[in-house]
Amino acid sequence: MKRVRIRATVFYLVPATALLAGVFLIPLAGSFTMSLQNNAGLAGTEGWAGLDNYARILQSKIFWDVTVQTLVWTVGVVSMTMVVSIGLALLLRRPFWGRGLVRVLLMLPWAAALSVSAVVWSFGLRETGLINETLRDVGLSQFAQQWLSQPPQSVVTLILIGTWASIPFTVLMISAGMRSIPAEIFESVSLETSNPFARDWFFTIPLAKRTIQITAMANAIVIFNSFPLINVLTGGGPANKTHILATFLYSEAFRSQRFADASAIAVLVSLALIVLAAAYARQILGSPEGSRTADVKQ
Amino acid sequence: MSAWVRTLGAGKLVLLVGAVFLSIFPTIIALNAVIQPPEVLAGPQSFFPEVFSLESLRNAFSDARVLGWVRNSAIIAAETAIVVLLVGIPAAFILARREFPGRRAFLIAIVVTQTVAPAVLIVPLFRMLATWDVLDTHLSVSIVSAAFVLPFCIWLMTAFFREALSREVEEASELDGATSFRFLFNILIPNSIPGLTATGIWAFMFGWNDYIFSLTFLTDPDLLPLAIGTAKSVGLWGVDWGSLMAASLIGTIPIITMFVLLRRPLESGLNLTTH
Repeated sequence: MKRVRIRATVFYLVPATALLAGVFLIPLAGSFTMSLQNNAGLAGTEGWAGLDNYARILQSKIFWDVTVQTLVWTVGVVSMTMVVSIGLALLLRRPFWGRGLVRVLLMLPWAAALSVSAVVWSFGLRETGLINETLRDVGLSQFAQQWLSQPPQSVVTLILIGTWASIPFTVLMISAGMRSIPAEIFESVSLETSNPFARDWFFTIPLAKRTIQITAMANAIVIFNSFPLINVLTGGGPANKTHILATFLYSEAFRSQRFADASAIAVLVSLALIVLAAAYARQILGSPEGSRTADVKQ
Repeated sequence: MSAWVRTLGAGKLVLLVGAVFLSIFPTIIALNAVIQPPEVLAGPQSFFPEVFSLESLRNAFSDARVLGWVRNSAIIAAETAIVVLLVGIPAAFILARREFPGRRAFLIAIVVTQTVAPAVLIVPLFRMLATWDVLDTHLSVSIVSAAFVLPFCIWLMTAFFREALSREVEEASELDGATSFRFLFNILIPNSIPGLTATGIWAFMFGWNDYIFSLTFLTDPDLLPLAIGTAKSVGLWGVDWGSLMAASLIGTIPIITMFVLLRRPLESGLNLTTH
């Protein structure tokens, strides 16, 4: 590639840099500042509080409950998503009539807006919705239940819907990773073993390992931060049992008007994510899969 | 059917059919709702409704509120795509075809910003926009959405630009005396139209599907996009499920169409960047 004068480069990079700095860096500094100030209701924050906000949050039970819920949610959704997606990617490897259509249909949950999908799910999951009524019709009425309004079920329901929403992107990425396995390797492996399960388990999956790792990390970051599904389906309730840190800090700020607390939580979340983000950036930039980046859904 | 059983095996066929069914299940829920009269939707639902009516669809298409949601979504999505292309093309051009000090730092910044969640920055962003008195404008939502989708789009366009033309073509254009500005506009962009279209559609979809920014920055009911309008109606007493399901379908059809169009160029973009 050609080296260029610095001035010319700056000219081309200024718009992007300005936009990213304005929307990422300045607000990040703003979060930090607000986290050190006192809450002032609708006015936001005022005066200096030192580390009081952090101390209060770290001592509150709800913060730790929500942190545990965030981990349960993230681990639950990511692990289920990975298992199902690897299976689907393997199923879609061999051509069959209608594969193109199947691929498009499997991508639908990704294309639709999460909040709109959540509205439709909440209609289907009502007391007399399609899901409960179908269970009753086929004689499984003991399984008909309050899917979203009771704590243990509502968490499971959310994790299942979160998985539903994360699968398409993951299948797309893993399929691409498996496609990049050279055909010669695949054929010689197929000659070695007649058992397709052994072939997939010992060869296909390990050969796509790097893509699988990157996709799992990308998913972990996105799921940890997910917002629309939970906010629409349960709003964090009942009794805060379905809040994760992202929805909790949002409701602290915009429902309870505790902007300083929300900012302190945001800073803590950012610190936790820096570790993950650094590992992720290292993987991406150090590998040929580089550009299959990930944060494509909110 | 038997051909599928032969090529896939019965077990795999069942798994695939199940996966496809779950994948399109919300679409089935919504379709099942809009073919019934609105007044029966509050009662028990079934896959085999007994009474049919397209009243919900007719209502939605004549409902100024629903049409307003669609219009607002289109405005926000189009603005997001325009901002992304205007700001992203020059950056992607430099990253794809020039070596300069700080290039790697810029790439790292682009990957790291992709891991930042909107929820983490929403409070200061809200405050910043309130101070500038630009809350309740579509452009505030579009610009912030654009910034969040920009890193991925720059990454994608960098890959497309790198592959579009050989180094020799660029050198030839330089011998002809073309500046890098003219090379970008007269040669590189016209040769990258499919990739740029895919990127634009991607940004459009991101803007169309935005939730958190519209939710936070827009309070005027006349400005709400579909993703917020439908979601906000759910908690209301006496919610009109028929119109909501119809609105969900109306709002999802254009985006699915775009997605189908986008799939091939996007996949080729993802594959390009692996080499």
